[in-house]
Amino acid sequence: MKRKITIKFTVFIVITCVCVGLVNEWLKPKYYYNETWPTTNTYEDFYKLKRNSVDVLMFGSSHAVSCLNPQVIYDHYGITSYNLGCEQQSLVVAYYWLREALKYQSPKAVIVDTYTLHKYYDAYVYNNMNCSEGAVRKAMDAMRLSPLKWEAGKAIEKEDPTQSALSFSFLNIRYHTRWMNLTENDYTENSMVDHGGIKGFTVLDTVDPSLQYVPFKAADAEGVEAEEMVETAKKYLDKIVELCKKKNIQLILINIPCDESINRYKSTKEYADQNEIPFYDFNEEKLYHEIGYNVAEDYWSHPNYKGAEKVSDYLGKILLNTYGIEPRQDASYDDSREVYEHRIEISDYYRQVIFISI
Amino acid sequence: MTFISFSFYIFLAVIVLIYYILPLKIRWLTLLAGSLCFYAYISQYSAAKILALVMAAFLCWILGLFQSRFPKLKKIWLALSIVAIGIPLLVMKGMPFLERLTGGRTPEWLIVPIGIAFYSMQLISYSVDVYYGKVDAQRNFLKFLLFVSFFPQIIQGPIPRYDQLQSQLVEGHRFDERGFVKGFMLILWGFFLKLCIADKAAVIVNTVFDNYPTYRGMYVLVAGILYSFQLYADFLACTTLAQGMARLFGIELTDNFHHPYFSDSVKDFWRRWHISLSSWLKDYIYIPLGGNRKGKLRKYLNLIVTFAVSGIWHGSGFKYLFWGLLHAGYQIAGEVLDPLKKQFDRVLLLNEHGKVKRCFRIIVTFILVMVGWIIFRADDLRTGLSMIKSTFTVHNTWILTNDAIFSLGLGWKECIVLVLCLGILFIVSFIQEKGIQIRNKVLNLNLLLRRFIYIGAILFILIFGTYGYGFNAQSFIYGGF
Repeated sequence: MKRKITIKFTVFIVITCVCVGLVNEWLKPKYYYNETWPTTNTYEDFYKLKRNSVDVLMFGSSHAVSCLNPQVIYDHYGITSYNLGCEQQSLVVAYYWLREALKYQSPKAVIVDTYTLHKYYDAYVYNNMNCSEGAVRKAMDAMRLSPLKWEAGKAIEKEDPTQSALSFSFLNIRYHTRWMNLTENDYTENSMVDHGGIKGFTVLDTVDPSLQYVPFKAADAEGVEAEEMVETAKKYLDKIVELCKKKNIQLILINIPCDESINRYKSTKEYADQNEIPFYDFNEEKLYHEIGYNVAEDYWSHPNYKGAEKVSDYLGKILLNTYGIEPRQDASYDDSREVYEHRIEISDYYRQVIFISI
Repeated sequence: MTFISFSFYIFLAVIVLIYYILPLKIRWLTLLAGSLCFYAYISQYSAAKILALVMAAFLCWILGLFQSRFPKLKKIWLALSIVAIGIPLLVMKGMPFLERLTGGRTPEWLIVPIGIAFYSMQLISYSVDVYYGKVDAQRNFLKFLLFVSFFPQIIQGPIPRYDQLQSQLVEGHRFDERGFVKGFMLILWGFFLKLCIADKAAVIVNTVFDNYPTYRGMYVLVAGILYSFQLYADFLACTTLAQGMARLFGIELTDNFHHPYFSDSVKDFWRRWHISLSSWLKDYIYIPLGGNRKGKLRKYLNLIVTFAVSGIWHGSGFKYLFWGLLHAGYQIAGEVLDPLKKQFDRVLLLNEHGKVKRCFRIIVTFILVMVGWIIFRADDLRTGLSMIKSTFTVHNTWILTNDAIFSLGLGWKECIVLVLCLGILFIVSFIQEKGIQIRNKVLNLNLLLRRFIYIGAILFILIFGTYGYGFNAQSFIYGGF
């Protein structure tokens, strides 16, 4: 009798959980490959990768998403990498996504873009996450349900008490009112995810010929004051450093061309030196010129795909030559190449149309 | 908030599990431990508040024992008991009132134990019942403490009577699947009432009441109607959740409501609204004062005193007192004007027991009660009266047709959901009024259909409820009294 009741009860709980899970999946906002920041594709595609098929993982804000192109790195050097960055990615989110990624992959190197180490935007100083609530959700909602996700939710709630830890596991708490705004995207998740993205990279095509940039010299940093890092960001970067050391992963810090201040460069450089981590700042004169970057052609902060190619090519080169990451074959890059080339075609087409119309 | 929080249900699941694992005889200890833990949690682990509860229970218990041991001094023990329990309650209730009058501040040493309004009434009724020999004094203090602190009903009632609850609490119950599922259904119904009706209606109600005089006239009327349903759904939700939780342990708490908005007079309303409080007031104030046995004038005076106490019990401030007296006034006027009403019926050829007459009386009663609720909800008496006045003096009927109503915090889609949910509440109440228990009907369905209903209900509440980000989940309104 007791057994029968237990079975009935368990079956009911399981069916209810499945139904709630399905409803939550349906209510969750989705961002596919056809949007500028395709977070849903980025994370769902990641889960579809073959286990231990990626040697390099990349993290960072939209700067990283639009600049670090795993397709270029693979096509030029045969190194398999994946960009797990997202808009305004907080170091807290990066840390938990790194831990999540390590469940599925055994990377030899991790690249972290340092832009969100310093204060991102005045509007978000009400919390310690250094980003908007929406940006946190975009990345965290895509994470699979697990004790780690619960832990991440608790950590986020601690840094931003306006958020609820429970809502990261039970998405209905955050999104149940979306039943009023569901669109076609919410009913076509499977096919949109199946289409696939570009390994977390997004193609941008902004060009501003009037843009000018004079990169700073590393030597000039001596006379300036280092800008303080956001405390929470630093705390979680420490955790990333520790985790990478523990897992024997080469951590690399980078900063893409984004008109970064020398004060920020100085504090990041000092941190990197203290922790013996390599740091590549593409706003610094030597690197800027070495990769042949030109803001007038390549744009900055959110570089167009040509600018991204220059930075990614350089990273591929050092990954191969300096950090000894071996090339390998992976058919999934052939699929993402198709998407990438298609996106470039579209971008070039529109660029020509705009050029002719001007 | 507590009864709709995730952590509370984890706590409840643990208590239920331990309850049914332990031997039958000591199962009540699980309830006591759970109740004290719950009380400690809601008191934010304030030792003083927990001690206040235990001390009040102890005093009442020991004086109850004295009543049975030294019956000659019964009156003194009873008086001591009422004074010991009643005075702290009066001080708590009266302090903010005095503050407003004198402009002073509540002394920092004064602690307000959670649920004092409810457990004080429980304790007084126990003492009086022992005095009149209706119940025997409890000899085991821990068992008595469980009666006082039983966690599903300590914050917001219903106010239980010792003879109804005590034996159920301590006797230990075997697991009964049907009863357990009934408890589960009650909890689901409670969530529906709270999240899909009360908290949804609260969005509009709060906008109007918190921004008066920006919103006047028809806005006040709409908010008044919605507040009437919000308060009912909120309080009913709380009681239903308490009943559902108790049912999981095989304990049945009495109904606290009997479809009050189907009342055809204010007198009838008070037989159906907050039954445990109304009957308490009747048994321990109205009847001891003489009830209706000492002539009409005395009866009216007794009504006024009883409803004044009810008003003061609900809160400190003139508005609560006025609200209580208004209901006394309604009832007195109802009796005084009875011959006139009969004349009116004759002129309009209305059948005394006809459906039309009953509908008319139900609507009039609802309006009278709603007027009282507007005062009850308003910031103060003056504002409440001004809001009611504005429904007659400000003409803005067009807000019902120009979509202005959808700018009060709920869009048209959510308004449809609210109306739909109110429709469900009406249908369920109507069926129950006919004496049909929907829970039993559901239980007799086949397993697949039942599961479909349960899961459908859970998903409906999850999707259409008002909670989570962007909403400040409303505390149960009666928790504040």
